[in-house]
Amino acid sequence: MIREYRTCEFTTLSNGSPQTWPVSPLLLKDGRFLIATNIGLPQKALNVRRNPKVSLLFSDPTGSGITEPGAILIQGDAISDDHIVADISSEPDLAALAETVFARQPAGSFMISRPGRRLFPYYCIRILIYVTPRRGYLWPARDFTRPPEQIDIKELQRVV
Amino acid sequence: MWSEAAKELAEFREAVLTALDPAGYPVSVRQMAPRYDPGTGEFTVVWPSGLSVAEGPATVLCHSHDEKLWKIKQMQIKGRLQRRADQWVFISTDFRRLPGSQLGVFWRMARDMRRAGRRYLERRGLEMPTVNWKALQALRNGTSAKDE
Repeated sequence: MIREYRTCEFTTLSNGSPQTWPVSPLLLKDGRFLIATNIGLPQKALNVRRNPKVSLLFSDPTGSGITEPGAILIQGDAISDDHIVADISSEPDLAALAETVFARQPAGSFMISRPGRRLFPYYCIRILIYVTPRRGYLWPARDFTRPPEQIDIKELQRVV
Repeated sequence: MWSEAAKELAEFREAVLTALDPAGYPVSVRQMAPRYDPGTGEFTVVWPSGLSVAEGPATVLCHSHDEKLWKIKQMQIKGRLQRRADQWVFISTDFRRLPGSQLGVFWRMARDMRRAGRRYLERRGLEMPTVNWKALQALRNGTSAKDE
C-alpha cells in the first residue's frame, strides 16, 4: 500500500492546528519517507521547521491496482532544512521520487513544458522533507470503524 | 453559513478527519459519507477504539484524483474535535470556497505560487537558481521509454 498508493494525506502542524495535504511520498531504504514540496508551496516545510510532528495516512487506493485495499497511518518526526534543490541530478532520492510521479501522473509533465515553466517558474525548485516514522497503524480492510493493528515500523526498512 | 461547505462535502464519498493525539501528533482517519449538518457545521465522528485522540483543533480534507493522478479535486474545512456525551463531534470553524471553475483554480494557484516563490527567495537573500531542465526531461523521457 505504501509503495503503490498514489497519494497519502500528509499532516503538519501550524500554530497547533493540523493542516493536511494530499502528497506523493517516497519510502526510502532506511525506512524514512521523502516528501518534496516547492518554494511556491513552502508551508509544509515551514510548519515542520517549527513543529516536527507529522502524520501520513495511506488510505486512497485509486490507481494503485490493489484490489483488497487497506489503510496505514504513520506518525513521525519530520525535518526540512533551508536547502533548496534546483538540480535534480544532485539528489538521487528526489530523482527517484520524480521518476515515480512522472510515470504515475503523465499530465504532470506540463510543469516542465515551456508554458508550464512560465506559469509555474518555482515549481521545480524543491524543498525536501524527511519523515522518520515513530508509530504505525494498519486497518487491513480499510474499515475505520474497527480498531487498528499496530505496525512494527522497523518493517518499513524491508519494503524497498 | 455552512451550506456551501455541506454542498462541496457532499461531492465526495469520504472525508479524511485529522486531529491531534494526547502526545501532540496528528492522527487521521477516514469518515465514510459523514452526515454534515449545514445548519450547525457539525457532524458526528466515528472514531476507532484503540487509536488515541484528544479534543482540540481538527481539519477535514476531501480529495480525489483519477487513475492517472489527474482531475484532482479537493476541499477542506477547519474546525475542532469535541467530546460530547459519549460521542466525538467535528465542529466547523472556517471554510473557504475555491473558485467555481477549474480554470479559476489553476490561475489562482499559478499566481499564488509565483508570489510565494518570489517571497521565499527574497527573504533568504537568494537569487533565482538555474533549474536543471535537461535532467528533468531526461527523467521524463526515461519514464516514457520504459512505458513503450
